Amino acid sequence: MTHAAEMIRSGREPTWIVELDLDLCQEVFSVPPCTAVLAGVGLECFNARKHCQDPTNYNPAAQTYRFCQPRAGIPVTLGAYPFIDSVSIAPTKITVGRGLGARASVSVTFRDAPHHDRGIDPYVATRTYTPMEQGTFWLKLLARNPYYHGRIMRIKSGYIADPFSLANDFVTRTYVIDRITGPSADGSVTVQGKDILKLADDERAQAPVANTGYLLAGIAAGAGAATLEPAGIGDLEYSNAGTVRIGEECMTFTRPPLSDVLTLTVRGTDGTTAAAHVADDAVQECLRYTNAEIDDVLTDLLVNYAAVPAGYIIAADWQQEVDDWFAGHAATTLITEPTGVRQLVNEICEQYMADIWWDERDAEIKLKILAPPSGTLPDLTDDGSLVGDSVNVTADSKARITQVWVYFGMVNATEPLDEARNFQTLYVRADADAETADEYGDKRVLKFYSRWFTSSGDALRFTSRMLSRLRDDPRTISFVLDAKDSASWTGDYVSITCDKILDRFGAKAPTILFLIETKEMAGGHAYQYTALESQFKNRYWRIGPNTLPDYDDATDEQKAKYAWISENAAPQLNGDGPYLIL
Amino acid sequence: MALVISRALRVGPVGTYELPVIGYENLLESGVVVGVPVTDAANAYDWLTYDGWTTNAAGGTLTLTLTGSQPADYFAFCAHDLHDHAATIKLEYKQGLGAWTDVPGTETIPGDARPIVKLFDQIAADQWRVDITTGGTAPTLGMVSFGLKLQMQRGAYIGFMPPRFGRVDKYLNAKSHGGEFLGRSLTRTGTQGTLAVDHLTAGWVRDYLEPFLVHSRAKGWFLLWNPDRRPNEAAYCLTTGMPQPSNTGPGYMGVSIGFEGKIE
Repeated sequence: MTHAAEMIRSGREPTWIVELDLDLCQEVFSVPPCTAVLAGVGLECFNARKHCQDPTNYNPAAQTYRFCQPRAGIPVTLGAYPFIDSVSIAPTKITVGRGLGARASVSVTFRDAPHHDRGIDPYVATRTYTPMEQGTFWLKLLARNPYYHGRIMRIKSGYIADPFSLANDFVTRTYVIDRITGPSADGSVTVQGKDILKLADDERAQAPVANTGYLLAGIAAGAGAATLEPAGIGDLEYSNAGTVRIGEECMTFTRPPLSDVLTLTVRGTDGTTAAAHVADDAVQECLRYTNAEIDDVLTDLLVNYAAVPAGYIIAADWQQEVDDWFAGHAATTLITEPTGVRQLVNEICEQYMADIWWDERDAEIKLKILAPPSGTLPDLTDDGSLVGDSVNVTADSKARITQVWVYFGMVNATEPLDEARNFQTLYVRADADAETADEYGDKRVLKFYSRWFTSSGDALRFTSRMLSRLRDDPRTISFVLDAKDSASWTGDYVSITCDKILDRFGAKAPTILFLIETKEMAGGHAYQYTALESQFKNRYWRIGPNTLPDYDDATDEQKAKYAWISENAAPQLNGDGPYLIL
Repeated sequence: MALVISRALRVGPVGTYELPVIGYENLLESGVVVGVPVTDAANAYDWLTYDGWTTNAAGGTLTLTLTGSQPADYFAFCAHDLHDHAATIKLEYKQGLGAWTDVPGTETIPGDARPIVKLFDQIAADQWRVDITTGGTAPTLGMVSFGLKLQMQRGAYIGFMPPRFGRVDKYLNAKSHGGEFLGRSLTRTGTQGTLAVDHLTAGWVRDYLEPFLVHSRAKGWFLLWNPDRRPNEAAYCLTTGMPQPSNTGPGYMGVSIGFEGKIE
């Protein structure tokens, strides 16, 4: 059986399995290279860092501790401790066009019990006490392994099938351990995990990295060199070439290896003015992007400045997404002082209409550009999918806008980002019809200050899509699906046909939705979805390659991606409707 | 006429093997046990069912050496996957330097994961061995026990719910907005029941039942509620609450033992 087969089976048996990866030394106490000496009978370490007696040779690897619910059907071969009381998941939520969104988190409550230490303590046979009569599982584990923060935890949601298969019948969600609390008054212990993108939070990640170097001596406005202090700081913190900021001036530099001397090649760059600087003035290296693809910028920020492991970004997927929807648009900017990675990522996502989120099921960071869906969408209906009385539709009138203003072409990279005087150009797109008394009769302006845009093409694309998305009250739809329909997940498009969304004739109107949040309710049984109504209601097209067949011979995937020219306002030869330019 | 006083003597009506049997004494806790393979062999007799002892691909043995000869008349095991490995399990005994001998009636080739209790005529020996042979892959055994059984003085017919019918399952159903049946989820949590027995002699309760009640405060036990008519309906149980025998008449007592257990 597979997870997909089990979730549609009547009488399926959902359950949770939780795995925690904690460090465990791979050496054996007192066996070379471990130089620890046994101080007395039963006084070996526990192969954990806290009580290691030879830290120099401490050699950790991940040791998986597996837990299950105390229920029938879990095979003894799983080697899982039946301590799970409850699992509560706060899912990822995409804040469309706003950046990183809400972090996914999980909270697992475990019961505690006496434990014999077999499988936990490598030297249990030599101990002088009876582990079953001394302490409990969790209290001993935490006393031995307090360094759990940032380690991996996996939440596996799936089904007990015959034969039982952890590999085939379970879906895995990956988090990092944030904290472990307890024991509480009833003895329970709670493990909380956060998604990988927590690493990008401001207090943890800044770009560029703050430098600690400063001027050894003052320099004149025209000086061509500057020496850094303290000695040796050059190789430690500064590149061999780039841009630095001293005071309110930016300047380009070169620096040979093993040197603290900067050769200042151009003074007063990026809209700043060359000036004199005094000794002890801070020297901050800047971060520059020039005509960079946004997937490259985002990857650089997340991996190199937020320490997000690169393996969680599928570079080819990100590149394909940008190539599909943003070919020819690139980012250019100079960041002159340490800025929260989250802020920078949010700016890019907002201004390039992109969403980034942690997909805990695929264990990867996803990138999606706000664009029309492609392919055949799952069709959710009142009869076949939507759980009774679960559909809720909310219109957000506060989010509606009539004009988008974007300031771009930053004048001075050291001046504030949110002041209009610091930008060369203001681009305004307005929907005059929406502002008339016949329609909404008001004026609502949304302003953006972009350090990334350099051309009116960027501004045109951005304002057009933003206004298209928020021209009318955006609607949020929530609903519950049975597990059999749970293949749809956050970041997917679906079509919904229900009695809560009607056309002007009162008939059910099939509506395309973008799923922004998926919450597993009774584990493995039902899922609550939150979705935004898609602005893309028509057919959109790209210019295709020369090798495309005629429309009648094209595949559904090709028809969804490319366009064929038909007669004006007339359908294709087979009757399908015409394409509209995006 | 000789008067025999023996721990093995059981008082009961005609049809003794219709009386419930409880297996709680485990000789594996009374001597030196050597497992082959040795890794986690103790998991097989720690009364816990979530951890187990995995044999080698060809099988394994748990060999018990006692300081003196001790009797046994039951053999039980649960929380296993022997059936997935075409495995055979049996109990053997040896006295002194003699040869290993199969305990009659204990050799089993399980067809599923149900708990199994085997009864046999009492044998005394100072060495015992649980022997598992396989079809080429290594099975896991969560709990095995053998020793002297406790057979209740009286039967438990009226009102007793056999464990196989005492399943405690939770269900969740999903119906669509249009009234269609979308799905059904099940959580199995085992079985539960109550073994209520009356007209027990006060002396028997003190001599035989009380040691079991003390054991059940911390450890599990096997139940075969009707060995003669239902030999395949065994359960591995944990007592719920604290059974409290009480007087029901001159020289007689009754007790109600609540339990939750595994039947698969």
